[in-house]
Amino acid sequence: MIKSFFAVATLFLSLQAFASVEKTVFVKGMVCAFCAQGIEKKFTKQNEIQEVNVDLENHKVVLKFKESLSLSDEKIAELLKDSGYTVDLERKN
Amino acid sequence: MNLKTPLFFLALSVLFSLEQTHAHPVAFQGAKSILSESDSSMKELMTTYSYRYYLAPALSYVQIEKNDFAFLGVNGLLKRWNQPTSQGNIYLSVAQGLEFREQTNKQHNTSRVSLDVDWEDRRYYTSARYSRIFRSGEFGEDIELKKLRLGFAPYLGNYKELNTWFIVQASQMDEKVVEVTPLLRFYYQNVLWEVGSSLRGNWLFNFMIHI
Repeated sequence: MIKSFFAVATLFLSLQAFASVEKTVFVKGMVCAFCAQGIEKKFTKQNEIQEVNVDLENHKVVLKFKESLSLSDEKIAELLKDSGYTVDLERKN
Repeated sequence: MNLKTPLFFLALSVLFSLEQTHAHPVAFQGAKSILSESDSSMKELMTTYSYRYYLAPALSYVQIEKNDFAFLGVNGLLKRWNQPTSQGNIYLSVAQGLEFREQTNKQHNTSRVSLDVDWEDRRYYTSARYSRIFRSGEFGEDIELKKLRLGFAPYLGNYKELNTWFIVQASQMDEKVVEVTPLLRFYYQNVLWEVGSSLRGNWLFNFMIHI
């Protein structure tokens, strides 16, 4: 019984550890689809990133990370700056 | 300063009597861009490499009437205002080059300075450009180009969808008649193109691609 419990718990924790994580970032100045390509290109080049979704309508970018990987908020802000944009810290989900 | 209103940039536009013919002269870091502009008064082909989001070396070939120019220069983003739902920019482009004249087989040094101002949100767009080509006296007077644009999007296209803009452009070369050109701007993914015809029947076609 105890063995089974630990087996299930270990499996659960392992799945949690490898589950991909998303971060939503609101971006100031992101109004043009033609210009926002830079954001997608910049983030796609990062090893940690699995998928980038640009949402112009809500001025946000959703970053989906590879298993057990992530980018710090500072790094995300730096990559957005290199793309010509600014993180909107006042907006949250 | 509240930049949610385009009044500031409109005021700058009027001040400088300018306009922007194409999209931003500097793109995102690492972007290679090819731009072409063609209308009744001039044709231009330009290629740029955006070394940073604020700096892009540029190589261009310009034909104005029967005069040919080749320029090597830099396009720079002087100032950008990123707002939650809008963006404003001021760009300065400087270039040095040569002017060619086939009939005489002569060439002269020339230079060009352009100032671009724009403001846009997802619905409205305004831009202005002032550009001057400095020429050798033997080849003629300096050439001055002023453009002003106002546009709106009839629908709000999202990322990777076809985006469409209705734009009215007023342009003037030197002291010639002001040419008013209604045009349509489209962009889809990494390609932008514009087609229009002036009220006097002169066509316009602009094209830009990011690689």
